[in-house]
Amino acid sequence: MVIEQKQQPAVKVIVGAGIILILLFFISLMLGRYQVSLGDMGAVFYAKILGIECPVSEMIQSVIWKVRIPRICAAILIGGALSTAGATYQGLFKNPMISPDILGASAGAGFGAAMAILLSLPFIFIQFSAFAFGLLAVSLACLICKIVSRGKDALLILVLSGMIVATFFSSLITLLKYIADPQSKLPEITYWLMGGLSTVSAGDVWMMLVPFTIGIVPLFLLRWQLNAMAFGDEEAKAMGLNTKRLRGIYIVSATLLTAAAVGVCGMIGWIGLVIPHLTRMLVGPNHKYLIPASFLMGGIFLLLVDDLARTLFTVEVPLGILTSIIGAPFFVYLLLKRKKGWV
Amino acid sequence: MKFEANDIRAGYENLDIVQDVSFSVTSGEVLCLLGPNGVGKTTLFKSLLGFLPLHGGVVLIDGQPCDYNDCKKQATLIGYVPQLHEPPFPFEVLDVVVMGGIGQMNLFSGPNKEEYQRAEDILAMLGVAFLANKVYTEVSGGERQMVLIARALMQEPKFLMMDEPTSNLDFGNQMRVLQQVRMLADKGMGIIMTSHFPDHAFMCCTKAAVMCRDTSFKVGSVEEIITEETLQQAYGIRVKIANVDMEEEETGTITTCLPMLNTIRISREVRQFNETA
Repeated sequence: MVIEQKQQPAVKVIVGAGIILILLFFISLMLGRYQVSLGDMGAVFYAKILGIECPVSEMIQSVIWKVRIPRICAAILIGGALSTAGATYQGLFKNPMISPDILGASAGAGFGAAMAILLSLPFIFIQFSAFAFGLLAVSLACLICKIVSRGKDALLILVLSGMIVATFFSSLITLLKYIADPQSKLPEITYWLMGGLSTVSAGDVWMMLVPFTIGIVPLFLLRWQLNAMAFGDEEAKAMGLNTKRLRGIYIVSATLLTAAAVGVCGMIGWIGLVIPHLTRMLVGPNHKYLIPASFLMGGIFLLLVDDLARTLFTVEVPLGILTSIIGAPFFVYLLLKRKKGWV
Repeated sequence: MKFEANDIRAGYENLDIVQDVSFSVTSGEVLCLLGPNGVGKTTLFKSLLGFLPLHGGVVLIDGQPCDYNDCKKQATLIGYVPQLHEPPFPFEVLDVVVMGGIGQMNLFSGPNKEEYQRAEDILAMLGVAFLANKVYTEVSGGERQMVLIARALMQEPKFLMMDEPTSNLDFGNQMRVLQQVRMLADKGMGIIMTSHFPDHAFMCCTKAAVMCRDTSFKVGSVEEIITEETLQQAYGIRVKIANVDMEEEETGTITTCLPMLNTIRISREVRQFNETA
């Protein structure tokens, strides 16, 4: 009896967040410079579902289907992916100060994108290159850790290796910027690194779905085991978990999510750090609820920020800048509100 | 059931820290492992639990060598109670306890109602049922130790390995933990624990083992091992073993270790001097 009462708040938060996310989805569809009324939106969906002729103008249809829905879906997926990856890494490394790019995924992806831009590759290759180099960076970090720690599994060395790789790729990005043509390539690279969703197409979302699904499904299935992993390798092992294999699965999955997100929208900071904190305050540290709740909260947060980014001023504000400007003071607020332990 | 460690050699990398360790514990027995700081008690523990690869020797349970790669099976044989620690996240006590059954659960589903019920029963058995819905990081050290014991019991192991279950606990909580150790042994659990207090061996153990700096390892019944010579050799201080008559109490005679320190005399003289002054 007692147990059910205790678990209800977490379930309520998850259901509530789900409802908010759905509402926000439709509200976001109407926001933007091109006015779409509630009636227009209803008519468009109604026509699509029934497969009949749509009474609304072509222009509105194309704004909804080709521009806003892909962008909104991308915001939800990326926000969710980053904060789920953040929650996973924080549990795995027993440290609430860790963000999803801890193993160098963001820096690697940034370098991949910058290089593709410099070589004037088409947009799809920029994404692919970002994704590939994100994975490469994390693999490098794991490899360094394996060599340095000589078979012993040392969490701290893995984190340090991640920092080394991240620093290395950051320097390479700076190098690329230095040699880039300041008239054309340099601004392009800089804008990409700031992060944004303004160029996202339906195709991008479909392409992102592949690594996203491969990454998120294991994290959702194995989320309960993260509770034991948060007590450290030895204890989890004594409880009967194959920690080596599990840790590999968590790291690969969370990295896929991070790389997929960075590949589509550039570097967006803070979400993976702040949202898991916020969520932990709402649903507690039990990963059974924390992981799905983090996903929903991350989706809500990035969608909200993206709505702000495209409506606040006549010129779009880069998303990465906004998440940090909103995220930093918000994090201070969370720290002030926290109780004993990392609630 | 019988837990046997034969000719164990253990350490880090290529360095042997522990050598020629052999002992056995059967169900219902409690072995207390004593030894000075840094002698390798923790290394031995980690090796017996499979956290560190054994450099030599073999661990047998009922004659069967332990397969440390099969964590799931291992968890049903040996439960591990770690030294008191504080995890970074404020889990609920019941969630921590129920975690112990994780190896036995279906990989993809969390614990079900029966498992939560079993976790509550174990807490009740340890006399800390009231902790169930408290936050693990906010309860006292003694209570946290009970939660860790409960978590290990959730695995339904045949043997328990407790790494300094009394460290960082106040006097009362130390005794309460030892009482639970005795209670579990009476229920048929085989227990291996480490301690810094030889007295603890007299209080709740059947066997004792002492590790010394010269890598010698002695094991036997408590009376055999905890002697004045062995303790002096292990800890480098003079110790007398005294029998205190407690006939009016249920306990009868209590055997205890008394350190022979001249500070005892000095501080008494200072106290007497202060009183007369």
